[in-house]
This record gives sequence, structure tokens and C-alpha cells, in this order.
Amino acid sequence: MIRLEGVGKAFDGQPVLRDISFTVPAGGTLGLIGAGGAGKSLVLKILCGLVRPDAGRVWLDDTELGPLSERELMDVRGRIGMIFQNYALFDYLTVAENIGFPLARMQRPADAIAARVQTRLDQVHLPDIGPRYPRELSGGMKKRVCLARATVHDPPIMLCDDPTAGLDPVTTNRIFRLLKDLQAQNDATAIIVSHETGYLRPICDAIALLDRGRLVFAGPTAEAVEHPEVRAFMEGEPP
Amino acid sequence: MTAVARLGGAVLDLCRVVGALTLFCGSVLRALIPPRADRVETWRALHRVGVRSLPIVIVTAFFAGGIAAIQVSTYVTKFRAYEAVGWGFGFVTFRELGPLLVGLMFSGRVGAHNTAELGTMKVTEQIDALRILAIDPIHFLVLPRIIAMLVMMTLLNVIGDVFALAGGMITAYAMVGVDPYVFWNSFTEYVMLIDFVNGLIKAAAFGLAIGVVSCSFGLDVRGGAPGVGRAVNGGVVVSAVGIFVLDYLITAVMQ
Amino acid sequence: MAEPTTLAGFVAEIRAQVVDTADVARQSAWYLARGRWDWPAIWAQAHEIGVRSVFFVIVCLGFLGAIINLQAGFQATRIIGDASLIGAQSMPLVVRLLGPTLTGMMVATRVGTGIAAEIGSMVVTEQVDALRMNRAPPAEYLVKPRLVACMIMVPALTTIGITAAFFAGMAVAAFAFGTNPGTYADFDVVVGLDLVEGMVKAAAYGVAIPIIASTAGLRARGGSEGVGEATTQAVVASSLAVIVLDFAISGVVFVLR
Repeated sequence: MIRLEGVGKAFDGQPVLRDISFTVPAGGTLGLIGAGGAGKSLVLKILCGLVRPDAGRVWLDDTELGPLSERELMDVRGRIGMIFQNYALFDYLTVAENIGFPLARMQRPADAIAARVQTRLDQVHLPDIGPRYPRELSGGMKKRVCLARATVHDPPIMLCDDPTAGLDPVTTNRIFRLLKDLQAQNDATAIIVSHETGYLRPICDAIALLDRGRLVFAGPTAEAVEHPEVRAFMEGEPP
Repeated sequence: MTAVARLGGAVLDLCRVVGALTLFCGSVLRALIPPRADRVETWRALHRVGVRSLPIVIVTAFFAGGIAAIQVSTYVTKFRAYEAVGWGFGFVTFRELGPLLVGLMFSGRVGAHNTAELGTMKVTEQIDALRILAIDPIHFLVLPRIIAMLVMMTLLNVIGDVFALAGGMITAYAMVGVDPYVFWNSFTEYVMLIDFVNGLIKAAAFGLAIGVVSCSFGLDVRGGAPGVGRAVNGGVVVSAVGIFVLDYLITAVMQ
Repeated sequence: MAEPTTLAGFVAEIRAQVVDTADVARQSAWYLARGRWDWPAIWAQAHEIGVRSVFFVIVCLGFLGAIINLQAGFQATRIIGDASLIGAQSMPLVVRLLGPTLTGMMVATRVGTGIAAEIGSMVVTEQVDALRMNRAPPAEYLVKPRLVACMIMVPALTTIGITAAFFAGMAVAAFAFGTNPGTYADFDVVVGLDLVEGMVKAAAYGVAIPIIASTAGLRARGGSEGVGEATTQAVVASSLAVIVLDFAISGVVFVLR
């Protein structure tokens, strides 16, 4: 379960998020949409404690993040798989070392890590690229490696920041399918930030629309498509 | 890699840097005949360079004066020659420590910033955009910056000398108990105009070198944000070597 | 990090820098006491910071030694007509002031910008966020290896730099003023306190530079502009720290003397 209550955040006195509240039940999938700069990425960073909100409370399952110290937050983050907008692959590590990184920091034995890494590489249909470096890969391949790294420790919560930015339709389709498979495998709760509203609708139980730091709508997908502002956004009508 | 191959690689790198700098100097010199630096840009560059580096130069010079006073005092107390403290201080600071430390700080503040700025323009294709508008980046971007750094480094050295003198007098008074009046007399009596001019010539040479090196490295950037970081790193390293080499040459010639 | 335009903005920016640096220093100290010791990473940093700076330090400090002895020699011949004592005059100065401080400035220049550029690039490409997601706090995973490497390597580089300045000075003294190398190398003039002063300074710079430069890198915001700003901030702040620490330590030693 993911829950936000009255979350607000300002940078240099400029409010970026105002009074955001929504809940994603365990195993559910929320599609978070909105124009660029609406604060979607910031919501995800607040959810994993990378950014602390100025106001409001955040829960991941039964844990409230607010009172935790940075070191306690590290344990909570172990339950999250995060896919970053800019890949965020470590460019000085090989693909296999990148994917195994979360497990290596949990001090799992090397052979167990290697086996798990190979399983994930097979699942994202890139079985042979383990020894290569991220800079040698195409955008779509990097995104799939991100997906493998984010899910390598079977996280019960998945946060995906625009997982298909800048990719062609075929690759986009493939990424969303992989995402859904990996989520189902762990029965994970997920939030997906994306502009691909056509792909989001069938895989999300709920949709939330952000507009300039305010939550316009949050509710089941069936209701969302009836909501005038959500529909206008999805159909690309200027406000 | 064997040691020989590594040595060879290092030598090739050195040749590459020297070669690129020489070619760059060539194109800057060609742009000087006839002189066609963009006037508006030059004023703006002068303003930016001056404003940006004044606080850091004042702080650096003040502490450099203090450091020199402490070191000179160590000798002076040993030989009980209190009337020489102003002379020793002025000689060390004006000729050597002042221009050297101010030059290195200027390289860090202005040179590094300049490399980063030009490098960012390069990776975001702004330099290409200028070329498409038939604006020569050497006239428009490079010459104004080099002129600004040459002029400002020289002027800032004068201001720096004043603050170094203040830092030295205060430190000598507070730590060694040298009366500021004695300090001032010894200073005015023994420190020659040539000591001051020597420092000034060094400052001008450092300013010119920092300008040429920082612009050359900035325009050579390749490969996004990491490339900008690497270029800044390379620029300040080469500027520092240049400062030491020029310092040596000027010291050797100016006697 | 926009360039501040008002005096109040300037003061606020410096205050924020100091607060962040103190925070990184506190966290690094915590992980230095308790965290993991990633020896391969420390080894790699020691190579990058130490071994790859040796040539640069030798060139710069070699020229410095030559410059100091030229100045001293010209003065000595002008005033007392004899340049045989220039080794005795210049060596204590090199050992306790110029050697450590100029080596420190060179490390701040080469290593400080390198650290800030590397960490800053990782920040703007979200790699640092990815580290924080995976039990790899930046203070332990990024800062600690650099800090340990600098604490070992800056005193080592200082020793090498002083040696380079010594021999370059000896060459200048011999060729320009005809000073006998045996007379030049008068080690009696360097007292134990000079060596202690020089090494204390080197150790202090070895702690200050990596922490200041890492902080600058971690404060990077935005794309390539942010990385450029971070490297500039690193070299200025760590060079200034070298000068201020030099002033402070010189002052303490002068009072002790």
C-alpha cells in the first residue's frame, strides 16, 4: 500500500506540490499523468524518501516515512524498485554489476547474485549483454536494464518515472509488457509516471492527474476517462 | 599496459594539448589583424570577470599577506631585525606569493567558470548556432574573454597588493608586535617600484595564459555533462602549469 | 545554483555551502568510524588521486623551487655578493610553507575539480539517487574512498613535491649562481618543527580538499551547466580552504616556536 496525505513541497519559496493525497491499495497500479513540470517525478522521489516533504505524511505499507532517519530510510528503500527517468545506470560498472548492485549492497553471496542477474537478463530478453557497459547500449536496452536492476531484489513496491521516454512504439509496448510481468511476479504495488496514456489505461487500476503541483483527479480508471479534465488531457486538448 | 606504452601515451597527450593550444593561439592571433573583438561582449566580459573575482581576490590576497608576514617574521625574530620585516614582506608578497596565489585562485574562479560556460554552449549546440548566424565564435566569444581576463587580472593584482599589505601589517602587529608605523617605513624605504612592476607583469601574463587556456579547453568539449567536467579539470591543470612556467621565465628575465 | 546577484544572496549561498560541507564532513566521519572499508575502491582512488598527480606536482613544484632560488640568489648576490647560502635560506621556506601549500593548491586544482566533476555528473544523471535507493549512501560509497585516498596521498605528494623543489632549486643554484650542491644541501637548517609544520599542513589539506570537493559535486543541479558550476565551486572553495588552513597552522606554529 502507498498512501500520501496532504503532501506539500516548496523550493526556494516556490510551491511545487500542494496538498497531494491519494492511496494505492496493495497490488494496485496507479498511472500518474500530467504536463511537464507538474511535479510527477517529485512525488516519486518523496515516496522513496529521496526528498523530504515540507508538509503532509507518507506511508509505504505500515511504515510512515516522516520520522525516519536517513539510515532507517535505507531499509525502507530496499523494499522499493525505482526506474529512473534518465536511466541512472552506473557508467563505471558493467551491465551485470549494475543489475546485481542492490543485492551486492545487501551482501548476498556472489554466486546467488550472478544466478539472479542472469534470470533477470533472460526475462528482459537481453541474455548476452552482462559484460558490456551501459554506454554501449541503445536507449531501449538501457531501459530494460533499468527494469532488471529495479526488480532484481523482488521489491513489493515499484516506482517508474517515465519508463518509455523517447522510445519508439514497438519498444514502448515491449517495456510496458515487461513491467506488467515483473510486477505480477512479485505481486507488487506500482506507480507509473508516463505520457503514454493509451498504454496506461489498460494496465492501471487507477489514474491520477497532476496540474502545476495540484491533484486534479485521483480515482479508478473507469471514472477517470469520464472526468472532463482527465479526458481533455488524454486527448491533448489545450486547457 | 606496459610502462613504455603508458609513457608514450602520456607524451602523445602532452603533444596533443600543446598542439591544440598552439593552433588555438594561431586563430586568436589571426583574429587580431585587424582587431575585431565584439565591443559590447567585451564590456560585458570585463564586468562579469571583475565582479566575479573581486571578493575571492581580496580574501586570498589578505591571507597571502598574513602568511607572508608570519613566515618573514620567523626569520626576522631569529636575527632580531625588526626594521627589515616590511622589506622582506613586500618583496615576497609583491613579487611572488601575491601574483602566484591570486593567479591560481583567478584560474579556479574565472578560468574554470569560463571553460564550463563555453563547454556548455558547445554541448548544447549554441556555438554551432552562432556559426550558422555567420558569427565567428573567436571574435564574439573568445577575444572579449581573453581581453577581459588580461585586463582584470592586472587590475585585480593592484587591489590584491593593497589588501595583502593590510593583511601583512595586521598579522605582523598581532602576532609579532611589529608597530605598523615601523612596518610601513621599512616597506616604503626598501620595496622598489620594480618589485611592484614585476608582480604586475606576472599578473598580466597569468591573465593572458588563463584566458587562452580556458577558452581553448571550453571550445574543445565533447560528450555532454561529463565532458564539461573533464574539460574544466584539464583547463585548470594546464593553466596551473602555465602559471608556474611563466613565473619562472619572467623571474629569470626580469633581473 | 544560479549566480547570486545581491550581497544577501551571496552571503546566503556561502552559508548554505558551509552548512552542506559540515553535513558531509559529519557523515563521512561517521562512516569512517563505522562504515565498510571498500579497499578496491580506495585503491582505485589512491591511483587516480595520487599516482596520476605525481607528474603534475613534480612539474609545478620543480618550477617553484627554481623560482624561489632565482629570487633568493638575485637578492643574495645584490646585497651580500655571495649566493652560497641560498639553500639554507630557501629550504625551510619550501618545507614548511611553499611545498605543502602549493602542493595543496595543485591537488585542489587537479583532484578537487576531478572529484566534483565525477560526483556532479553522477548527481545530474540520477546515479546518486540510484545509490541512495540501494543502501549505498554517497558519504560512504563515494566520499569515504576519496577521503581515505587523499589522507594518504596528499602528504605523499607533498613529500615528492618538496623533493622536486629541492633538486630543481639545487640545479638553479649550481647553474645560475655557481653554488656548490654540497653547500646547497645543508640539511641542518631544516629543524624538526619545520617538517612537522609541513606535514600537519599536508594532512589538513588531505582531509579538507576531498570533503569540500565532494560537497560541491553533491550540490550540483541541472545538466552540464550544473556540473561546470560544481567544478568551479570545488576548486575555489578548496583552494581557499588551503590558504586559510595555511594561515591558521602557520600562526599556531609561530606562537609555539
